[in-house]
Order: sequence, then C-alpha cells, then structure tokens
Amino acid sequence: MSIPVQSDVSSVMETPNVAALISFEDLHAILEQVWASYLHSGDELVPLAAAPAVEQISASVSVSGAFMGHVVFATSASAATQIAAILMDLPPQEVSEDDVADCVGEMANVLGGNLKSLLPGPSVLSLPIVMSSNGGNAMRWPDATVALESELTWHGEPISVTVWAQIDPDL
Amino acid sequence: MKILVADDSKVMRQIVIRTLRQAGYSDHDLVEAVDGQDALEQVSSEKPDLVLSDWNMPRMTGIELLQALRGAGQTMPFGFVTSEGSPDMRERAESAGANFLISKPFTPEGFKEHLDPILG
Repeated sequence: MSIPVQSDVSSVMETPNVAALISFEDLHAILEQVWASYLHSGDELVPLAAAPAVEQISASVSVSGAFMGHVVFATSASAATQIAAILMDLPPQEVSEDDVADCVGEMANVLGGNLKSLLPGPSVLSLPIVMSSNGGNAMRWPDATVALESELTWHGEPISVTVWAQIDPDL
Repeated sequence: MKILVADDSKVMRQIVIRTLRQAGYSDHDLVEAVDGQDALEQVSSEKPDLVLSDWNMPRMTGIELLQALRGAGQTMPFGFVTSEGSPDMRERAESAGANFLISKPFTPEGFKEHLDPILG
C-alpha cells in the first residue's frame, strides 16, 4: 500500500505549528498502519484534491492540554458500512447504524491517539463524537442517548437544544 | 485461564477477542466489560487471571481502574490496549502497576510478545 504525498492541502499547511510537528508522511504512515492492521486491505488509499459531495459520516476526538485541537476522521456512509463490516466480520447488510458509529468513532480514536503522541504533551484525548449528514440525530456520542430535546424557531430559523446522557450499562 | 477485556467500544472488544484467538489464546475464557467501572465489578465476580483494558472509557478510565485494583490489593497481570502509546503514557501505566501497554493498531504478534510470558 502506498500513499503519495499531497502538497496542496491548505487547511493543514496554514497551521505552521501542526505542520512542523506532524508531516503528511507521519499522517499517512499512521493511516497505512491502521488500514493494514484493522482492514487487512491491499486497496490503495489515494489522496484527492477535493472531497466528493457524498453523504458523510465523521468522528472527532479532541486533544486538550499542551496542544489543543481536534482530529476528525470522515468518510462516505457506504465506506463506513464497509469498514464496520470488515472490523466486525459481518456481511454489510447485517451491520447496524450503531455499529457503524462505533467503528467510525474507533477509527478517530486510534488515529487521534497516534497523532497525539507526535504532539506536545501532556494532553488528554476525549471520547469520540460521531456525526452524520443523513438527518435525524446527526451528531451522536458513542454509548449515549438523547435524554432531552427541544426544537424551536427564532425568526423562522431552527434552534434546538439537546441533552445527551450516558447509557448505564447496568440497565 | 480467564481474560477480562474492558473497552467501551463493542467493536474494539470484538477485535481484541479475535486477535487473542489469532494469537493462539482460543482456549482461555474471555469475559467482556463495557467500561472501567464494569471491569472493576467483574474482577470481583469473575476473578480473571489477566485484565486487558482500554485507557479512555466513560465512567471509569483504564488508569483509574488499575489504580483501584492495585489499591484494593489485586495483583493480577494488567495490560493496556490503547490508541495512546507515547512514552509518557507508558510511564504512567508502568508506575501505576501495569505489566505492559499494547498500542492500537495492534497485531496478533504484538499480543503474543506481551501475553506469552504471562499466559505461557
């Protein structure tokens, strides 16, 4: 598996502190490790100049401490289902929405943990937050559920407040 | 021998268990805990011979679990399986009484390297 280095990704290059600490080679090496170890995939990860407009699911973990920031893993809903099917050793049609969220969250966790080790410490890695663009509860936390939700309008524009509660595994 | 696997991700628990099988530990009893608090309770009820724990978990983290176990005089082998493998985390794990730290992503060979001396 080989990932050519992309040189025109402005979002990272504009942040000199991060660019000085984590190179694209570092990031791609971590991605290759994760793909080889978890997905047993010989398929090449090929960088794109721009992300295609597809239904997306993403997960983020935050790093708080000597370095403050977020690591986000994003992919299409279809790829997320395929990743979950491989990780769980199930046919894609048997993978649930919760499984997909769990898998995408775990990808962010593993990538975040590895990248954190290249950044100044000490710092703490958060639990992952998973977001999808397919409507409904588009943002979710693993192992948590919506406990209270209020949807309102203000000058005709939507406003909502949602309280998430950790699911008690004893229940 | 009984191995307790603690991780708040169901998928990661499955991957750890599959990797244990691939590493040749199919004959051991495997029990799962969904976070550190659950693991602490299951150590009392299940009396595992080895605890494999994630670090970042809700309710009780892996390092809090380890500190609670060692504070209660529990001396069974304890290893972290975590995405965080920096020297700082390894030092914190070791000083709290962990036997090893396996960083994610991991391989069956990595498991064997750390588990063979404990499980034989």
